Amino acid sequence: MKTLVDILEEGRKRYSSEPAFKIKPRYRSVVWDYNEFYNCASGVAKLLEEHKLKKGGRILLWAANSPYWLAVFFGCLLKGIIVVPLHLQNRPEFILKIAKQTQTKLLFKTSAIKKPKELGIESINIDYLDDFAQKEWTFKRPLIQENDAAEILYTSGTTGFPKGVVLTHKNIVSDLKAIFEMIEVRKSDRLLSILPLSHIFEQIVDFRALVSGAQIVFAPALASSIITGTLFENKITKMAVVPEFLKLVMQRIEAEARNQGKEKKLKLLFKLSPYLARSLRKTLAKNIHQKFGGKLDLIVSGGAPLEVGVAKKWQALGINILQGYGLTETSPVISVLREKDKELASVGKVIPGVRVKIAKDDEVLVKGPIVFKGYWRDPKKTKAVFEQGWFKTGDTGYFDKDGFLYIKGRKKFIILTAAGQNVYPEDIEFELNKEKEVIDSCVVGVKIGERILLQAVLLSETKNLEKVINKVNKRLASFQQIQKWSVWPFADFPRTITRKIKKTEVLDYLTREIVPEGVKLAQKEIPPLIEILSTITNTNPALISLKTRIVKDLQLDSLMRIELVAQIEEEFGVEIDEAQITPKTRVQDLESLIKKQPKREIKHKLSSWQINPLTGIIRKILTRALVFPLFASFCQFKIEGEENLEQVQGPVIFMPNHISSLDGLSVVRVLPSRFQNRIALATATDILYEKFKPLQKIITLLLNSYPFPRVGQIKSGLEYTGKLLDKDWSILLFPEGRESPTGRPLPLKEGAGVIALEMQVPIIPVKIQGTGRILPHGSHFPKKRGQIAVKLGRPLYFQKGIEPKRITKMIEKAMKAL
Amino acid sequence: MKIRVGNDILQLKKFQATFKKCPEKFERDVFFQSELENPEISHLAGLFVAKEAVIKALDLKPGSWRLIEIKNIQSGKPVLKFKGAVAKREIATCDLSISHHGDYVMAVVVILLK
Repeated sequence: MKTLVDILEEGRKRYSSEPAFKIKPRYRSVVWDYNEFYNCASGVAKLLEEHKLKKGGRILLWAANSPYWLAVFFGCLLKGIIVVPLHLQNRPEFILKIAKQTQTKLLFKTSAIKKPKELGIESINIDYLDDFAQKEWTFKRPLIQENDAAEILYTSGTTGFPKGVVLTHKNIVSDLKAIFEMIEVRKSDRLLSILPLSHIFEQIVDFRALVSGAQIVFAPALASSIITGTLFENKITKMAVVPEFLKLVMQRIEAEARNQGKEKKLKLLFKLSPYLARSLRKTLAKNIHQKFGGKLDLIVSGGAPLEVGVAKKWQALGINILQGYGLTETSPVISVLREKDKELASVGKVIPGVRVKIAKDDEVLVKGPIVFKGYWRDPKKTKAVFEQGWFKTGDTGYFDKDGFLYIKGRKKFIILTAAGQNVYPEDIEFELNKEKEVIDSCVVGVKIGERILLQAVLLSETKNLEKVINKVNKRLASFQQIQKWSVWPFADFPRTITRKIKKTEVLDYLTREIVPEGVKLAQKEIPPLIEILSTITNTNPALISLKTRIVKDLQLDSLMRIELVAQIEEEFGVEIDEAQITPKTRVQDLESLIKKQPKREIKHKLSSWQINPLTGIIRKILTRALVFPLFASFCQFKIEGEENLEQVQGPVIFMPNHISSLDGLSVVRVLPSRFQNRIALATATDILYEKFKPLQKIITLLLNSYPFPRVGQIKSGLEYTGKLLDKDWSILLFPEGRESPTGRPLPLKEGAGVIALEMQVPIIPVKIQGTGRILPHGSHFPKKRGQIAVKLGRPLYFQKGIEPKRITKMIEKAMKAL
Repeated sequence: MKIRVGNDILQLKKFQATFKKCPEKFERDVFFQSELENPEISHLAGLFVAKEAVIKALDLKPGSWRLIEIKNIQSGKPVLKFKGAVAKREIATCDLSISHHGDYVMAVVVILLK
């Protein structure tokens, strides 16, 4: 492996049809194998060629992690185009600066992101790139050499001129090779990619996975419930996180143990863990592992220092924690602390091929192929970070006698006290963060006149922290004493992408009252109920308090009341009776009403037995031997348009008109066996599961029907449909939503378009005739014999981005035309 | 004999906006299947405003939508049909009138209690 392009090329050769990526944006999973990954990247390369971009040109990539992100990245590398990845949180002004600095020609972004108005370059939405994956695209290949720049990563935050770290293929590949042995990855591994790919840390971990043919799974969003859900569903084996994540999840694990009365057990495990083998620890913590899917075995932590205590607790659960130290400028890993290493306070040993030395002033200096060449077109800043060929990390540290590297802190944050002593704020923060009242802390030196005072800024829910400060001061040396303290007035500190506190901005706020960007918004979140009330009644949320009377003060009319109840059901999953909202009801009453209400559970589920292969065989025997012959005794079948199915690959959704209870069975009866044996029938929950409940199991067995609510929580229906399609089951669904009493077509439910759009499979419009005469609407027994004609239309394909309403109209038109 | 009167007026635009946001809620908890046979928004708005007028006339609890069904007789005139607890009340006779004008829909009901 010489360049990053080799990852793509070798992946295609070695793992061709093995899964490379998986993402489930909503209801359907998108899985790409290594071939499709290559194809898509080649499509991007072709696209760049069409846009006349030449080797060395730059593009902006502004999107959340996804297969598309990596396809664009590697597509650019194929053409020698330098990628400038942007963080999702980057502000338009910042992006404009970067675009100007790098003179980019093109912006690749997700459709959800709006292009800044002033950015005068063309943009391409990357979430529509699926079509590229179908075939390999040919394009002119430039020669890519290892010293070519691969990407420019912008590190600096919001103030001043941004600095672009230029990394070459060689930089990244050298780092990748050095950590290769330390992060063991197998083809069977599934890696969860949740840290932003715009940061080199997640990149290197993802590249590592790709080199060994593992599968990378992306989470559709970063809410903690979604992350745990994705971990669980995909049985994730490895992931990279920032320390804060490990801290928060551990807190939650401990809180849960406390609630379940298992605290003692967990504490005992923490205590005994050093004496237990990893497999035994894993078994003892089985319940916890199960929540993560039961297969998680390695977490790579980086981007900020991990507290020793937290690391130990995770290891006690039998999870291997690997810690890395590095900077973007060093592509990024400099040293790695491995599982067997006991020096948990260190950042481990320097990776092979890299040299590290400690300067006279304790600064950590690095030399080796991983060190970047310079900041983008900024020789002055570049010169400032090099000293006789050594890169100055800006961190201070030391080696112990066994060669473990310890980081003391950022050089620029060292506080020189009046007594001439160096104080590392990190040491004081470490002690402060041990206290349970302190969520997080930031220690700075504030100049008052000629003196420098040590000030602790605390993130805490408690206001009076005098006692805590006194307690901590007792543990600190005399020159480290906290002299002043305050509570941070915002919801959180300003932080970098890896969640490190931006100290300069905290200091700026303390001394010059400059409010850091971003924190303003986080000041106080509006509770969801007030948010709902505010939008429905069009009232400023600041004017709504717990004491507000909903009907009187907010002038809630009957229409708003319906909307309110509907939204509460959607947001909180509980049903409120409209009559419970009286003129006297205040916001707080409604809140407690919601809390008291039992959560509405999804009553009807798709059962796993109905799609297991054995059931399939029984179903086949029963239908062929019993149902179809019985059927034949009172009707003949005619099918038209069968040829329309020939070209179709994979599962489809059949959408017929609905005139009789015989319709579902009739369509299944005439389909070619490849569909007949693998089809599921979307069935209205209120009919099969409530009205004809006794028959439910039998019909489920015979027709493989699954619940699809016509009203209310339609989401469960979409979820089941997506799940079935993911497993290659075709779907039969009546888009009119009910039987037409007259036999004339009814208007389609708007959901039809939503289903077609979300599921991204061909829709086959179907016309059924004759069933209405044999078994008319409302009757239970056949009235006469006759012929049933089923006509299949041409498959309809709908691209992403079309309005669901328009799709519904198009399906309706196609059905009518049959 | 007691006379009860109820009326209500509604802006079609507002009804449409709310209906669009949560059609399932309306289909499940406000209207009957029979009432939904004609899914035109102005028709549904008429039914809604008429139900609201009945709720006012009989002083029913908010959200009593599904205690009142509205049917159209041959001539197109709407008639009321009461359900559940309301059906048990001593109603001698009742009449309903719905009117559409531009963006507004209004309804008047008169109910005679025995």
